[in-house]
Amino acid sequence: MKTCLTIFSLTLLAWGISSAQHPALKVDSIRIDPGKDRQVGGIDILPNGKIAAAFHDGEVRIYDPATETWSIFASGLHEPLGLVAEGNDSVTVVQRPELTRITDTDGDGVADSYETICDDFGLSGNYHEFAFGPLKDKEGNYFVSLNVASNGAPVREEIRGEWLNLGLPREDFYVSKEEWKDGVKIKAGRMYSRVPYRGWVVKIDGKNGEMTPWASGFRSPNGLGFDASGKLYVSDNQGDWLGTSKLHHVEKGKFYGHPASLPWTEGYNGPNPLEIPVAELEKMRTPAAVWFTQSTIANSPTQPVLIPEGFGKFGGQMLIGEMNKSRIIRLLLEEVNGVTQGACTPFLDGHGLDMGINRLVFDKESRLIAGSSHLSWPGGEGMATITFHGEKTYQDIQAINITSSGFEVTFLEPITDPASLKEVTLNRYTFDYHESYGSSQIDKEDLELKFSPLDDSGKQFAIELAASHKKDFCYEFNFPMAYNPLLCYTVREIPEGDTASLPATDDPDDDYGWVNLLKNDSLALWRNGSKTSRNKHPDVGELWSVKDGVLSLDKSKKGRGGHIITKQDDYFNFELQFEFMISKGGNSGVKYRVNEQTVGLEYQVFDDKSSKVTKNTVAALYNLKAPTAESKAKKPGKEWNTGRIIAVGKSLKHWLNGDLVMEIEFGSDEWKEAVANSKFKDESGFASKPGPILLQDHGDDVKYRNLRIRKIMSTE
Amino acid sequence: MRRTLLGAVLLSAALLSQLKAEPKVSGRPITIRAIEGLQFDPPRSKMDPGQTVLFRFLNRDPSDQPHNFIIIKPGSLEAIQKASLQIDADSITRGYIPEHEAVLASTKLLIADQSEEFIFTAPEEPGIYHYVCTYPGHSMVMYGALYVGQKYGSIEKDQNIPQFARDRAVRLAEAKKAVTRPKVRRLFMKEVGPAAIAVALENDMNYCWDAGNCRLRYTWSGDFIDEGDTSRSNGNRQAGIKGEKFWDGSGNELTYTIKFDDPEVKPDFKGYRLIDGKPEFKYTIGGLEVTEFITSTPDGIENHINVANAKEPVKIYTKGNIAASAGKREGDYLVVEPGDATELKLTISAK
Repeated sequence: MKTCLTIFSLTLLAWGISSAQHPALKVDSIRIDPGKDRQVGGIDILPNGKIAAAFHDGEVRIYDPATETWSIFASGLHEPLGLVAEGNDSVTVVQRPELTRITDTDGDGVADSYETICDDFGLSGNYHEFAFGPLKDKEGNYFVSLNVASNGAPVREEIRGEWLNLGLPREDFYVSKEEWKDGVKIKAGRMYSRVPYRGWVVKIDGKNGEMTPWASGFRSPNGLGFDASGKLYVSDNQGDWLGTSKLHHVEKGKFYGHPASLPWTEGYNGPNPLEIPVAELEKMRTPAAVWFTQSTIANSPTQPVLIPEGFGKFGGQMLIGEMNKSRIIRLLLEEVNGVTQGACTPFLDGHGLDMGINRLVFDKESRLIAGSSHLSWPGGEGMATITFHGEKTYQDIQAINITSSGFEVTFLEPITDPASLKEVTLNRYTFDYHESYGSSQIDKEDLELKFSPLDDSGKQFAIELAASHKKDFCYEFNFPMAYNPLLCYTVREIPEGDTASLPATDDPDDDYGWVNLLKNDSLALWRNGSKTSRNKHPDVGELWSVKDGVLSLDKSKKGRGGHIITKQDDYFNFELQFEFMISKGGNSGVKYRVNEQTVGLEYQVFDDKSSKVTKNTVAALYNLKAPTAESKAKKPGKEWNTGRIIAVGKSLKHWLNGDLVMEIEFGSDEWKEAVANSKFKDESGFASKPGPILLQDHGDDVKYRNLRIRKIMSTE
Repeated sequence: MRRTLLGAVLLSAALLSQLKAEPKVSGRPITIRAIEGLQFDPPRSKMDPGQTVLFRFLNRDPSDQPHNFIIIKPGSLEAIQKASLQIDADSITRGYIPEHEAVLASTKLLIADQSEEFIFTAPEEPGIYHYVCTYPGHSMVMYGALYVGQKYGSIEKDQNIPQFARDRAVRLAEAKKAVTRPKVRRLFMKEVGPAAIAVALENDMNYCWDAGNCRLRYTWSGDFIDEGDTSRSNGNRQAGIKGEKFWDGSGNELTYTIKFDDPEVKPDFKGYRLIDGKPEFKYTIGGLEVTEFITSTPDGIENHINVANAKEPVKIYTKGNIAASAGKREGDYLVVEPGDATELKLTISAK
């Protein structure tokens, strides 16, 4: 086996993915003859240990790992996109028009029998009607998935199978590309199913070839696999009706969300599926077991495969390929209240892996064989072997299970630094179910976490959420101590509350180390912050008052105002959360790391009129760094807005209404330049020491509420 | 280098009259197409140092993806690939052209079937420049080499172009060679249903058989098919024939070899076995078990039909210049007695 080709390293560069060696895994490419189309549509291992691979040019070749040579077994197939071995001299292949058993009957090593097992599904001639599979069950039957057509193209003059009219006759679909673009294209729906069982998973009897429609609602289901218990999983690709890519646990008779396929349901007498209200579709559909967050986890998931015992410590789990990144993903599934759901996390990112991972199979020695493809989309080509090398292990997540109030997490190896648990972060979001293409992350929020101590093995701990679980949310974790820190868990069901709650923390006052700075509607934690008058008048003055949890600075009152500061003055590594409402045109600010002269950093609170963002815009690091342009879209106005500051060591971050809008590293080149161009350029030791939190009296009315702070442990 | 930047201006009808002010065009126009599978065609082009030519960039990618065309300095490919990944709010308005000093000339982002022309003056420094598409995700594989004052080496070994392009060159060279006969190729073909099978036989004879309705559709002599680079594509392409058609069965998808009066009777394709590399097709229709085995002679094609279990006379579609070993003509059909239907030979002459 040769080492990686140039294209691999370029691909790695594309995704900023590591080309360094993985601590436990290695990737060796399998040489395929130059000039040959190396796009892999299917792979399986023959009983004799050789590898059979179907290529997109229509060939099936057999690779002998002992001699590192290929031989041509079959040829002339129409876009084979899946293959299963039947014996040393026979494979079953799904090609565009049919499921075919290909056999060498005379023992010369080359197939001479191409037996059609099933061709009972429709073909409109539209390019997007790919056929995937076959996945063979224990009884010898095959599951095949059938893509819907794309309105990127019309159909052909001749088709195979019954035409579904739905108010649009076949003649309207057979037009030139130009006519199509201006006409029927829109009415057809972005993806359409006008010939039988497009958008379905079908089951084909291995003995008589009889086809049974199994489940509907698929768009581009390029991957089928069983788990250890025989559950069927099918992946699907982000697009119309798919907010993000998915893995479905597929059961007979269920509908999985893409409506184009519905009219092929037995006895269907409903309208054009595009006319069914979304709320009704929502009731009919079975949601996905796993969401693959677009661009974070995967853009185009492919074949799921069960990991055998002996492949690291992951036996019994599953892997799934990804076309658009040089990534293989690991699946951590569980059943909760009878519903299959779970997590996905990168397994291999780069490390010599090509993009376009389309097919995966384990050989008899528990080596993973991966094949890549692209067709006309970004991807890769060729084949590689992925193995564990040596005895080395590495730190990653072994398991994650949902509990009634959080999650239980198990690592592969003992966690050496228990304090590092505090660095685990979590946010959650959901996706829209709608006709338009894809969905952004909806209702995104950061979650506060509490951690149990590690168990005796040092590998397991519980995470408890400050908030309640939400169904149909994707929980995105970052575990900095894991080799693959990213993990997304899709919550469909929440277990009953039989889990013991976590041991209490040392601080009886507040479970999460938070201090409510306006506790009991009191300003007892505050003092006068004016650098000139605070020693003479330590109280906060008459203009500041708290009522019903709201701190107001009312300039219409009579009396003393001025800045106020917390009595505690050693805040350096901390998180501060607050809500603010600024008066029209008003100015205030939340300052931190201030010195005796109250000079320091400031989260700007300002009702500005400009359409541009500047170093003076709300949520800016005042006079140093502007917030992102997107922060303007958050409409920070007279209503309540949420602000958040996290200052840990050199890292300074500002959030506005849930979004991180300003980030800068203290002492970096960017920082030095910002200070040099600011009014702070002559301040010595600027913002380098702990200090109190300061709320600014800038002469304008302002209100704050839910003002709370917690210190963050940091080694910096 | 600065001169080059100035030289690279868009050429539009309005600008044509001002061309005199620009460097004189001194070479043949260079046309580069974006083609299926994230590739440029040709993947290499040549210029003399200082030469000024008209570049034409055409987006002919049938998969409807947008592309741009950017000429960059030697040795800057990786940097540009990296830069093309830096997507921000302005990327779209810039047509995904990275703001990078290595960019010498660029077109707008073109959607399918659009084209753009510009004048480009090659720098004085000889070297291997690159052209690249920087639409997100494309630059890693979609680039070509612009040889300025340098000679080409063998394209199959040219490390200045992507592996896809080297592979394509090998395949195209292979495709130019005569096809090894016999050969079976299933793919979308013109003028036939979507489950087509193209077969190249000895004697430079070829035919297309339709597995959807189980019948011979047309025959031709001469070269086989223009498969192009179909396997690198999304599969939309329909191949055409290269030689000369000598028989066309016409009809439509509901026309079958064996005719039953009941329109509900349809054939069921069962596959084929290879005999000396040539397929013998097998199907059932209306309870009949049928095989068709098609061979060639220097004069044309012979279809050996075997209806194994007929009890009644069999009606066989034989439109056009078909000679039969048995049976009686009835319009477009031949009526064959059960005894003759087990070894019926239909001959189609290429003359």
